[in-house]
Amino acid sequence: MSLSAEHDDPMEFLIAGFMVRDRLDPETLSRWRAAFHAEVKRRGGVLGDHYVTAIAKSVLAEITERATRRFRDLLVPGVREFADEDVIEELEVALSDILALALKKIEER
Amino acid sequence: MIDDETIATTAEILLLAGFNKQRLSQLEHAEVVVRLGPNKWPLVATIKALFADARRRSSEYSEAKARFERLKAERERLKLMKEGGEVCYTRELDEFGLAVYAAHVKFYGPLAARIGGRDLALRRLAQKELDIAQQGLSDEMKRLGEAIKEGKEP
Repeated sequence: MSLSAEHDDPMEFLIAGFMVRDRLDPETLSRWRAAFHAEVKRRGGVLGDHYVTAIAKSVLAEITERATRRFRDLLVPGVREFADEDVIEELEVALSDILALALKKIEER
Repeated sequence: MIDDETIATTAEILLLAGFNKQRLSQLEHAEVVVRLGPNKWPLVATIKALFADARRRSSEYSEAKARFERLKAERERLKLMKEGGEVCYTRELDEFGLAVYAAHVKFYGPLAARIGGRDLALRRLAQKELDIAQQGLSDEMKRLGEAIKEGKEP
């Protein structure tokens, strides 16, 4: 799958960055934070130096969900080349569990 | 009979406008009103100018007051939302986002073991695919970052 698909979606930068946050240099991390802020603002969730929690959380949840899906789309075709359907199914379940835990953490904040 | 030519004294203008000399002098310096000579004011033009100035000041005051009221309402709204836990500081959410990321990615480490089980060769292959997927995202991030640096939207 080409990662350059949907190039003009402002969420793409946030999605790609979420899964590799520890690999980002300070400048790119700063841009990622600014992009997150801009997205929350675009959705009406910025009040001065505060976020409307529900809106900011919904952005974070969407990033997490789409980033996991993106990661899955990158991972599964490669794994499929050497693994059978049971392994793929196990992988899908594992990714789904990981996502569910993250979304639960966001929801419970 | 009063007309455009009617001349008034300073005392008459002060009486009609309800100003003191100092205020009238300020308005004269601001060129709001113009006297014709010592103790000589064009009555109609001066009164018209004073009304026009008063209306303008009133409008400015109303706008400033409306702005103040709006800011006050926003502060009150924010205060209520804070009390209700509906808002949080941006830095708190940023820290929370980092915590979500950390909690999320820690599960990717054991993913190869979960896929491969006891089959070490399968584990290695799975780990390789995990690395490729992560590298793909890193490359994309780099590309998007460069696009931003060059002034293009990602």
